[in-house]
Amino acid sequence: MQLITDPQGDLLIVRAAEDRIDAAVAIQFKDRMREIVQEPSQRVILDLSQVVFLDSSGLGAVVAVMKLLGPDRKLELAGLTPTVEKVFRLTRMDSVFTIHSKVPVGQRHAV
Amino acid sequence: MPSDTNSAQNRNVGKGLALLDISIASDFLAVRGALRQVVTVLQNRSAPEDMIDLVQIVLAEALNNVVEHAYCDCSGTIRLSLTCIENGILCRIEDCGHPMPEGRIPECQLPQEREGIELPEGGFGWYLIRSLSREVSYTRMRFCNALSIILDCTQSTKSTRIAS
Repeated sequence: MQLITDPQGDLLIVRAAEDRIDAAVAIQFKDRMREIVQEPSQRVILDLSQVVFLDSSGLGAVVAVMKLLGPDRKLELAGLTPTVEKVFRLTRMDSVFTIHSKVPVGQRHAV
Repeated sequence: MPSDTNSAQNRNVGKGLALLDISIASDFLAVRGALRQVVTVLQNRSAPEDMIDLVQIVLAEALNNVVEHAYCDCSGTIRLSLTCIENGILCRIEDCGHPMPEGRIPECQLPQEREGIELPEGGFGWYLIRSLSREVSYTRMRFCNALSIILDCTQSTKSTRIAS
């Protein structure tokens, strides 16, 4: 489970360098993210632009990461591909996250 | 809304074009492999993206359930078959693991609505299966489970080769 971090001041961008976040890797994803988000940062943007498929296990893992951040930090998502976007929308979990069409590179405020 | 009847199994599918009939091991990586084969078969038949998405999303959930629950403390094989039927695809998943609790498909509400939790981490699977399917039915046959799922062809599929 490859996750690539790009800290930008108060913003931490984490890019999932995987094709799928599914039952096969959901636990590893959560564990890796748990380590990564120990670095303090107000906002964390999870870049999912490489992820072409996410099942309910993957969705649950992303929600778990949001809860790991606690009430004072935000988890935002970026680059949802069509099938992934569909799963978030069908389960109505898209309203729970701020979703960017692309990673707002170089910006330090919400798009 | 899909109905919880046995009509999916009683339907005469002998006439349908068989798209896929495979057996896989009861682990999540094998499920990935099965889904890859499903996508390939559908692409070869020129199914549009939204139909491929539909089939992949539903089968991912149904197959993962078998791995996680039917084979929770044992292992075995899972048989997956896909057949073209009129305006749809019939998916059949068979395994010889534990039966479904109470012998039937679980509650299928969204976990947010069922439990009132704002940020659920699980419980989405059956909701996805039920809400995206025309029909879902489950049968326990002595030592094996059979789950049948009928998916409607999406609007964009109807004018393609895959709609028989």
